[in-house]
Amino acid sequence: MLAYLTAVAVIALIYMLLTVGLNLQYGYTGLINFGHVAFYAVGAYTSALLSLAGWPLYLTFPVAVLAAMLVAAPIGLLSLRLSDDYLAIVTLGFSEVVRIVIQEEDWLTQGVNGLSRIPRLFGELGNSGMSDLATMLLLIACNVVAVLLILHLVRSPYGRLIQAIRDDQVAVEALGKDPSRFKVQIFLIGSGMAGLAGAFYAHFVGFLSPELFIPLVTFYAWIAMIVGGAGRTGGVVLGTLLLMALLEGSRFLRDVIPWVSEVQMASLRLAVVGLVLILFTIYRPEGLLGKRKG
Amino acid sequence: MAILEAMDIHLQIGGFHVLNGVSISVPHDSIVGIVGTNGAGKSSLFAAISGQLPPSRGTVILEGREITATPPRKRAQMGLGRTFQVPREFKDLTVLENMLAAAPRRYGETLRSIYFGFPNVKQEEKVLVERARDWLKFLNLEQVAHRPAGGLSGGQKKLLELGRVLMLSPRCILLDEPFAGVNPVLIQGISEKIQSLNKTKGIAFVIIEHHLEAVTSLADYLYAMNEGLVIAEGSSEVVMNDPRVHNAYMGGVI
Repeated sequence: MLAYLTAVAVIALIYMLLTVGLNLQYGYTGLINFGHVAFYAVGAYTSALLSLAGWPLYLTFPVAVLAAMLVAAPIGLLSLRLSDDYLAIVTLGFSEVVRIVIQEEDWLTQGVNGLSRIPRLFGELGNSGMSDLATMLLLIACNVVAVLLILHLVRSPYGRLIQAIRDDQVAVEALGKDPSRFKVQIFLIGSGMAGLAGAFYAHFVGFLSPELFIPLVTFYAWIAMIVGGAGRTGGVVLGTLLLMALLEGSRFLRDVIPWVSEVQMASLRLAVVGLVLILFTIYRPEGLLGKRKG
Repeated sequence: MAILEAMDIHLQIGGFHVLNGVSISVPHDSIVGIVGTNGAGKSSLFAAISGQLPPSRGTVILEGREITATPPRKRAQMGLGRTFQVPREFKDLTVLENMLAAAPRRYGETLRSIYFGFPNVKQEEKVLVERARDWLKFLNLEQVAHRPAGGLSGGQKKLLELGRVLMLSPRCILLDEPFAGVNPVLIQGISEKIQSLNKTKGIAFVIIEHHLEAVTSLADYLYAMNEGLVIAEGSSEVVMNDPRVHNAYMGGVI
């Protein structure tokens, strides 16, 4: 049971990194990124491939972050000049391109067969319970540091300006400031966080394949953010935990309703998540911790 | 010597000729009004002067420097401020935060300064907060300083936009319908603020306005526009008595 809980916590913490980064992009800056999973995938594959080539993990993690940011840079520079809706389309398309490239370039990524035997983080600790626990602790530390850095950022004049950009970009420009510099930087920071999350995922699960990086991952992060309260860092932390509780908790539902098959349960789980999202958008659109409008 | 000059401005939007060679000149320390019916090209002229829509022909000169192709944010940095017909307040930020977001600053808006030079950021912030509060007091907005700007009345939003522009220490401000949707009591108040800024700070104003009474009493010099052209110019009295202006406004009656 402890091992199971640790595993759930690790996955939740990985999603938390993703969601906190997405919230910086959308919640504070208004960037509609529908392709978050692309940078998660780049981080995961970069770290996995390098470690399989013999690199130590303390090097592959930072390189995974840089690789995700590097991939994000051209997308950011090209599309942040466009309006928000176009960024949404471009990023969504880009994330599918990344997935298909991973799937087709099997000389590098093993394609649909996937990468296996990826070295586990803290594998030197021997038994997997200990390494999972250590991974969880490191993830908690990463999340705490990320949240603290972001809170400092959003409470600074820099953070005030990205929120101004979210509210009215034309006015920011008319006041003599360059919105695109801020947008590109925020896009890169969020993408780097996704890359870090990807690296953690690769070395926790030990196996990667392209179908793990479908747009659903992006939308889980969106759901967690909306439920928690976009633009509230504490809220999205809570939102991620709630989403994971829903996704994982529904496993135990099978003990109560055994006549539902495993396949049906998977669909039911999505239905429950969808229902929660609908209820939130109707009754609490500002999210759990969001400020009430009006 | 003019602080701002627009010469022979032509502008086409989607094949329509919205400006057909408009020239205006704004002397130092003056208040210039631009009147005209809907569709006369007033806002388009502002867009061309502020850089939102680059003109297809013509020249814009600010304090002797040609800025025809300069991006809007550079013009703002050079001292040319503007407000918008429909207020563009940062609705989720408080009134004070709106003011602070507008302030030009050396520190605080780069990642390096907020993580590695925070003492500088804090010090600069302190000075700017003081300046912002002074302006808010001047604009009678200090009681709402900590309210989200989205909840202000139409007139207060107009004042806040003016306040944000003042944080740039501008030399010349373009006001796009500062009295639209503002209650009559506040119209008088806004007029007085404009006059006082003009007299004490020497800020030049260009005002587009439908509210003829307010703008004619404010402006030292008036332009009347119709169908993308200036049809009359001069003192308020001269322009308002010009038969062409009557024609344009009233379709020939009177």
